[in-house]
Amino acid sequence: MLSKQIKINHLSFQYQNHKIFNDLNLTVNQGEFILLTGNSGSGKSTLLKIIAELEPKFSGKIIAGSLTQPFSNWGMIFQDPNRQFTMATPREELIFTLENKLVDRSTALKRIDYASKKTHIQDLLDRPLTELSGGEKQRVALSVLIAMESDLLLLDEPFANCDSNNRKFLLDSLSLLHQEGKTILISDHDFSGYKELNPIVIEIKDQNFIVTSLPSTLPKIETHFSLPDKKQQNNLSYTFNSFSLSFPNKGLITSTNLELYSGAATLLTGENGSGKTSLFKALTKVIPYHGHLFFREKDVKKWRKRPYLAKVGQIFQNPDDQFLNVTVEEELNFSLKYNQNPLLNRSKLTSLLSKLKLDNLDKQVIYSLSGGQKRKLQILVMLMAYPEVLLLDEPFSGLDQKSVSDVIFLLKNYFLNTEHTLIVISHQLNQIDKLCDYHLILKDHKLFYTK
Amino acid sequence: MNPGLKLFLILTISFEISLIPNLTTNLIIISICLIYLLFKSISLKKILLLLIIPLFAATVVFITIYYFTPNHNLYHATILFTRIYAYVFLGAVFTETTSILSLARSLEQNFKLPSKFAYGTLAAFNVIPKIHTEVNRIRLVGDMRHYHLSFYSPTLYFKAILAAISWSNSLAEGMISHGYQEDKPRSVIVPVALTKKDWLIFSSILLLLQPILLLTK
Repeated sequence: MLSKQIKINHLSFQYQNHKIFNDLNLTVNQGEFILLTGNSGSGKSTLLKIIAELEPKFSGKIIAGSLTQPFSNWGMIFQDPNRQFTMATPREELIFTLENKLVDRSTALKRIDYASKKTHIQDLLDRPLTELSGGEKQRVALSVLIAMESDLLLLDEPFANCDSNNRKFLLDSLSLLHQEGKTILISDHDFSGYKELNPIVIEIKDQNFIVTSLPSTLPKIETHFSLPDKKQQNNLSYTFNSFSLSFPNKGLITSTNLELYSGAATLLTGENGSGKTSLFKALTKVIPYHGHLFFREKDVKKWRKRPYLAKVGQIFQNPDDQFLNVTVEEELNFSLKYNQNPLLNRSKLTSLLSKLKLDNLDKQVIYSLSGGQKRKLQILVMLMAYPEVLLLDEPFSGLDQKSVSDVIFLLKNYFLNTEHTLIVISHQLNQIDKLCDYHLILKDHKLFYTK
Repeated sequence: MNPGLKLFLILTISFEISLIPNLTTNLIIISICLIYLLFKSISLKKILLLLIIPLFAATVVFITIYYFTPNHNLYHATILFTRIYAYVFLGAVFTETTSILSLARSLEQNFKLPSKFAYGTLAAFNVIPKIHTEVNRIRLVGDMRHYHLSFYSPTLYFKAILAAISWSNSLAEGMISHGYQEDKPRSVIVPVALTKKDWLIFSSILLLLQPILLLTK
């Protein structure tokens, strides 16, 4: 059998009159494992979509060159785990996919069985997808590609919402698929765990490719946090008293007594599906809890919604959720109109925008910005809302190291002080000790401080 | 009963009672549906809601016909009043006993509906709870950004439409990446049967309905 090749030939691509790629050349041989890296906004997602032929459409356009992609049975996993399923449960999704692929009933049942065992989703098959955690959804997404027997796997930052266990599990699965001869293209910011896969590393920089290699030593991430000292802390932001949480119908946190301190940034970690995001939902009055949860000595249940939410804000996992307008300019003007942050005003904002490389984007539609640009804008917008407590749900997912330090810079200089509190959910621990003072862990349904 | 055929049965009955005003038929339909729903052990709370929610519309129709038409026809007013309940109960019998997925499969397999309609609608249906969550989240974000969005606020709906457009785009990409191609044949993994028994039930119910419709008042 002749081996297949993806050939990108002098390809130039633009998006809304904004050039993304200039004269790209690349050949991918069947069976290769390619790791795409590059700063946020460099075009990793776009490249994968071009290969999948999901682009160009609407505003994107190939202005020169060509692409040959002979794999017809390709499959893709997207960065946002919520937006890739048509059906309501994993089993229905698998059936839908295999019907599309003209697989007959008995083969399909075997493949579903095989794929769900490979990805450890047997127990999730009939659960509604809306109830699964980010990591669980990505395992379901991989199981679909395994069941399809895709020979080309395109993965767009698939681990952005995964904890280290799910990340390792999925990478091991990819390694096995690679050994079976599958062609794999994956984009990622984090190099850990790739060494054994021996990937071809391609960085997208200045609208073009640079073939590079994995860094020889990966920085070992060691974090040290202090435990809060009750005597020194006088300002409480939250007090948990026999607090417990279950959602949806699943026990997440058992009776907890705990204090959260204002003027500090607290990191919150825990396995996928342990209930970190649900805890944020309880803190923002979206879902109910049992027991007591006091915010400024008044039970959250007794706070009225509007005054409470003016004091407790959240940075959502998906930046699109944070915006209320269409263009960057409209969004920033809206925020300036309701600005509560004494450290920020129009001129300060202008200089910050150029520092963050968000200038000259005024008329651009927010939804067409890159993941990193959206994230920085999202944080600026919430800094201007200036709540007393800011909850951040995976603020570093999909960001390169430079953008991570930009985000930390913003939060430390324009938010954190004795009156303001940060609670940060993050799987990415690079640089996190520059931001956070304390570390809360959610483990075995218990929430406690750790070092 | 086969979901697609059941849908046609319900639609045919509804169509007939809207053409031929007949009080007895309406009452018989309502009682049979009610008995069927009770037999399928639907909760009493749901039945109560089915009785209460259409009451307003039904009463308005009744009052309009009885008080504001020249001959104040009680009989006609009652027919229209019961007709609304007949529609609601027929609809309830359908939705309470059929999943939208099996309906989509049946329409595709038994009635040759193009898969893009069957699965497009189904995908959109599965997005509804997500859109609902989205609207709640938009309001939450509004409050967090010191701008309250009431349920009639244009910003809320504008943003919700944006979200829906973005969802529909992701949905299309998701379907394509899971091997869906418009107008291409698909296999059948979960077959939906359309049996002689289904046709027998379908035709006997319709046959029984005709004399009641035509011979009673």
